Amino acid sequence: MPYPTEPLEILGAWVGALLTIFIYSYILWRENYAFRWAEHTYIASSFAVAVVQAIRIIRNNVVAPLMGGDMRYIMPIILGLMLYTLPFRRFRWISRYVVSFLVGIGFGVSVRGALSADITRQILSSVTAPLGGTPMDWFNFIYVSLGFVFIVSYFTFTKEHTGWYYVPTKIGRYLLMLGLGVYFGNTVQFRMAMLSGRVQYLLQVFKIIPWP
Amino acid sequence: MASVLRRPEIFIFIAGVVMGITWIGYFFPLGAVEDTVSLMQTWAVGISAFALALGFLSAARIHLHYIRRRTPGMWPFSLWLFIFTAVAIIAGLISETTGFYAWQFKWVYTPLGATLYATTGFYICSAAYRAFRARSVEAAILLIAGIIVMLGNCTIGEVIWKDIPVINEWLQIHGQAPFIRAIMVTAALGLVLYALRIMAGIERGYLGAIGGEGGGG
Amino acid sequence: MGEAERSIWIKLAEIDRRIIYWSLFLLLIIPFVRPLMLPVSISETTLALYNFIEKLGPDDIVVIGIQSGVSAWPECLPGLVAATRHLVSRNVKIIIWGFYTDVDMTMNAIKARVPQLKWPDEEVGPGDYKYGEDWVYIGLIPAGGETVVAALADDLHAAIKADFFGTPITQIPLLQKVKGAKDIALVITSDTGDYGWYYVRQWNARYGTPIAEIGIAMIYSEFVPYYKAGQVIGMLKGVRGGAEYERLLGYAGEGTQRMDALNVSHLLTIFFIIIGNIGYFATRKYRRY
Repeated sequence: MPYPTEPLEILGAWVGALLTIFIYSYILWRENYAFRWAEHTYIASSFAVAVVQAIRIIRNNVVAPLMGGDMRYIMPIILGLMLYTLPFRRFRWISRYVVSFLVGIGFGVSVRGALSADITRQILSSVTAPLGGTPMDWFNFIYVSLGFVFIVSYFTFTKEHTGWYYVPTKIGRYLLMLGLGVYFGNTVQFRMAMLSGRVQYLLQVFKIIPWP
Repeated sequence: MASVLRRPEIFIFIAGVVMGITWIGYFFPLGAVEDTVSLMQTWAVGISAFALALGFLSAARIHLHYIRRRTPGMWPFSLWLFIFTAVAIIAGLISETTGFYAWQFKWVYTPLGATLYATTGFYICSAAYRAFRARSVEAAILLIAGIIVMLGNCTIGEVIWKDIPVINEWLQIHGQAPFIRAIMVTAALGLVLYALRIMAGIERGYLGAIGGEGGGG
Repeated sequence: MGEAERSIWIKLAEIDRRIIYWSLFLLLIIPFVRPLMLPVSISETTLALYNFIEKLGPDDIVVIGIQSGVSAWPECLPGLVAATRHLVSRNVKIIIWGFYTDVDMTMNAIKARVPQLKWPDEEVGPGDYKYGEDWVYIGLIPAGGETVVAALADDLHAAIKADFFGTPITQIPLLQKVKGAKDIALVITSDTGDYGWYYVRQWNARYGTPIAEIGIAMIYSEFVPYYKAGQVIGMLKGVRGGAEYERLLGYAGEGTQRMDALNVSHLLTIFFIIIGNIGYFATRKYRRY
C-alpha cells in the first residue's frame, strides 16, 4: 500500500504522528501542555466513540426489533433508562433493579462455563496420567500435577505454613516465582511489540521506511 | 410503598432468580428455559449500551466542574474536550463511515489508543531495571526464568545459545503451567462461591449502600 | 575502595529512568532501518495449530473472532494474516466477526494482506473467495461480554440479524449452514482481554468446538492450562507466533520483520536488568561493611 495521497489522509497521518509525539513527550521529557492537550483529545474521542456506538447498538438491537413488533424489547429500554438514576442519590435505588439483573445474568453465564472449563477439565488434566508416554511426558505430568497442589497449598491460609506443611508451601512459592518469571518474559514481549509498532508508525509517517 | 420497593431482599431475589434460570437452562436443556435465557442475554446487550453512555455522563460532570470553577491548568482542556466530543458525536450520528467522525476514529482515536497502550513498554523496561534485583532465592528464580523467556522469545536467543529455545519451550508449556492452572482453578472456585454467596444474599456489595440496611438509597 | 568508585556502583544502581526511555526509543529505530531477519524456530503450539488447519477442508467452517484492537496489530495481526492465508489455501469457509469498535480496520488490514478475500461488489477470479458463499464478515457485534458469546454459540441466528453490509443472514448462503457452535470446525480467537476465555467456556466446554488462540503473549501464558487439557488445540504467542507461522507457510512477513525490534528491546531490557543487579550487589557489599 502506498503512502496516503489524499490531503485529508496525509493530514490525518501527521496529526496521528504529532499526537503520538505529544504523548511521549511526557515520558521522554516531563509533563507539559502538549501532552495534556493530546490526553484530553483522546478522552474526548473515546467519549464520542462510546456514545455513537451505544446509540447504534440501541437503535439496531433494541429499537429495530421493537418497531418490528416484538414488544419484549421494551424491557431493555425501560431497564436501560432506569440505569440513569445511578448518579442521583435520592433515586439511586431504582438502578439497583438493573444492576441485580445484570449481576444475575453475568454470573449465571460465567459460572456455567467456568465449572466445566476452569475447574473440572483442569483437575481432570492434572490427574490424567500420560499412559504410553515418554519419561519426559511422565516427568512433566508429575511436575505439573504436584506443582499445582503445592501452589494451591501456598495460598491456603487456614493452616499455618509450619512443620510438615512448610515444605510443600515453600516449593509452591518457588514454582510460583518461576511461573511469574515466565509470565513477565511474555509481558515484556507484548509491551515491546506494542512500542515497536508506534516507533514504526512514526518512521512511516516521516517517510523513513515504507508505508505498509 | 417506595420503602418496600427498596428492600434489598427484592434485589437479591432478582439476581438469584436470573442466575438460577441461567443455570437450569444449562443443565436441563428445556426449550422454554433456553428461550428465556437467550432473551435475557439479548436484553443484557441492550442494557450494556445504555451503560456506555452513562460512563460518559459521569466523566462529563467532572469536566463541567473544572470549566465552571475555571480551575487553572485544567479548564481550557476540559472545554476543548467538550467541543471535540460534541462535534464528533454529531458527525458520528450523521455518518459513522464518512466525514469527521470516521477521520478522527482512524487518525485520532486509534493512533492515540495504540500510543497510550504502548507507553507501558517504557515503564516495563524501567520497572525491570529497578525492581528485578536478585535479593533472595525466589527473586533470583523469577529473574532467571524471565531472562530465559525474554531471550527465547526473540530470535537472537538461539544465536547466543542454541538450547535457549528448548528451555524456553519447556518453561512456556510446562514450567509455568502449575502456576497458571492454580490461579485459574482457584479463581474459578472463587467465582462460583461468590455467585452462590450472591444468590444466598450474603454478598451485597453490588447493591451499594442499600445492601447493608433495610431500605433507603 | 574509594568514594569515586563507590559512586559509580551507586550510579549503576540508580540510572535516571529517562536515559532508559530514550535508549529504548532510539534503539528501536535501528531494526526498522536495518532489518536482520534472523530465522525463527517453531514452537509446539504453533505447529499444533498449523497441523490442525492442514486437516481442514472445503466442508469445514471456521470462525475468526477479532477481539484485539488496532493497538494490538503489532502482536496479533501477523498471526491473524498467516492463519487466514492458511485457511484460504485449504479452501476452508470463514466467518469473521469482532467485539471491538475498530474491528473494521483490522478486517480491512487482513483483507489488504489476503487479497483472495473479495467484497460483494468485487470481481471474483479463480482461487478467490466469493463473499456470502466462501466467507462472510459480520462486523462489530455489540459488546456484551460472555453473554453475547454464549448467545452466538447457542443460536447464531437469534444473536445476529445481518452481516456488515446489512444483508439479512437468512439471505447469506454460508450462514444457512451454521446454526450454532456445533456447526463450526474451529474458532480462532484473537484476544487482548477476556474473550478467549468466553469462547473456551461457552463454545468448547458446552459444545466441544475446538478453539485456537492468536493473542498477545500474556494471553498465551494464561491459555497454557487449556492447551494442556486439550480445550485449546493450538496457540500463537503474539508476534513471535506470527513469525513462526509465516515460516511454516514459507514467507517472511510483518511478524518476521518485527522480530528484530524484539531482539533490540529485549536485549536492552536484559542489559539494564544485569547492570541494575551489578550495581545492587556492589552497593550491598559496601553497606554490609
